[in-house]
Amino acid sequence: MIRAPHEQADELELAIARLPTVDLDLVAARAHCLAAEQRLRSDQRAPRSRLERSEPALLIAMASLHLLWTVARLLSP
Amino acid sequence: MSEAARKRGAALLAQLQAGDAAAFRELYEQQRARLYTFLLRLTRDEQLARDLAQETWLRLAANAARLEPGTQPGAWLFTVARNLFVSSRRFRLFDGERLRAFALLEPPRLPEPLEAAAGNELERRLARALSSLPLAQREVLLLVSGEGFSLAEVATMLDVSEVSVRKRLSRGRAALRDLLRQQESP
Repeated sequence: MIRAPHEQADELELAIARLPTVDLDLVAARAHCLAAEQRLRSDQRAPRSRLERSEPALLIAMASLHLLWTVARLLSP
Repeated sequence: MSEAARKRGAALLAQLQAGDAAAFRELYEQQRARLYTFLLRLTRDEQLARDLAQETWLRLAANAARLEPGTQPGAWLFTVARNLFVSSRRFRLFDGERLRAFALLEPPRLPEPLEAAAGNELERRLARALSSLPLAQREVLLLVSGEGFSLAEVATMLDVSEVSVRKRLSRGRAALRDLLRQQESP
């Protein structure tokens, strides 16, 4: 990453960048990863809502009918 | 962040959005330790850091399909992790962070894994000093200096102006130097 001059890291910040990282123990890491992967897969398999599955043309037709019905109601004595 | 890393991030996002578990594992292996260490330094609590790390990864899995094109998964993960920590504090009756701000509590102890990981006394002192900083300064130093995000990226992550990030960074550096000086002089 290229930083502007005022963003240049000083010695202290370089020391922070060099501080060692700590990892989760392997059992916990594996459990976290599996749970998240399962979530990712179930999200892909989840059935889409009725609205998502509806064809856009059907939605437009329904909206047009609704509009016609509203206009008819307004014009009726 | 290098251009290559940015491109790889975009490719990983596209794969994640297609539900590719291998892409998820690659990102997990790449960011797992960095994200956990960030949370450990942010929360100063081993159990909380572990819980928030898990929740962050679950959020990525649940939201991958809805992420905007151009989102960098790495930056997204750190943003979510940080926001989860901020939210977790809102629901706590006893918040050590606030009490310490008013000097009502002793400076926190460095979590054991961070103590153990420090390679020498200098690193241990720096880690302890960093851990004693107020949250606003600590998170900016961790993201800019520790993780290498730009000021603009951190401003977006914290939802504040770039000027505010720069001020917090400058105050954080000064406070950190003071703390290190205090540690040197008995």
